[in-house]
Amino acid sequence: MNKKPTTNPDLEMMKGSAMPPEIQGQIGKQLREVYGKLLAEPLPDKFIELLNQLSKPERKA
Amino acid sequence: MTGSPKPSMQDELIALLPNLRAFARSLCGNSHQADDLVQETLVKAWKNQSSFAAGSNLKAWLFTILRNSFLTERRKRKHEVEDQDGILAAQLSVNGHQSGHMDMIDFEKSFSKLPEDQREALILIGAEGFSYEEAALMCGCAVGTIKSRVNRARGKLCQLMGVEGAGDFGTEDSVPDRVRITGR
Repeated sequence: MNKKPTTNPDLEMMKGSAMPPEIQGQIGKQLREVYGKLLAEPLPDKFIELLNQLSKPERKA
Repeated sequence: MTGSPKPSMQDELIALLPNLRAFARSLCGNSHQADDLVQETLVKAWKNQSSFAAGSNLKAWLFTILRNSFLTERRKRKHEVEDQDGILAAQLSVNGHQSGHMDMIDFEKSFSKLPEDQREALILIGAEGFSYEEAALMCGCAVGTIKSRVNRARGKLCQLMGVEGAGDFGTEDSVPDRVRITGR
């Protein structure tokens, strides 16, 4: 329970960058923009085809 | 409608395809490999859907399957691991130029320099909107670990981009809804 001096690198990083919520917000915004580009990419048909195939009742000849 | 046991599962999987693919691509960079990963995830999810607890978070469940498949696959071909730098940047650099703003490219470049676990944590929390608890379950680590990864990722991003105040983000007016913050 005794307090240790802060040598935690995370805390150091936090102190060093003194991250105000506005900056967190900006990072989040840019991240979502970049990730959004990946989300918006057209999907190949093969995924739907695979799912259609999977959802067919199995038939053993 | 009569034959399939859970007709909604397929629809839910289809709805989550973009997320699965985006996450796969942010993990492994190579789009061909990412698509294989998504397909593997779909097959595994379909075969194990009885083990999915109804009402729980399907996206988290699928992401966990995808992530585990990725790690297994990577362990298998450890010797041919691609260099981890520029994973997302490589994926996005083509599109990045379309946006035309400098800070976006900076962001992508900086993002790609983060350690893999920090990138992953930031994507799960910041881009996919998972809770810290969900992300911790998915990554098999403590909640505090996810929190510190996200914090370190944010700190590192600021450092890499040389951001000192939020006003440093963007100097163009090409982002219409950008919040302007005056220094304090």
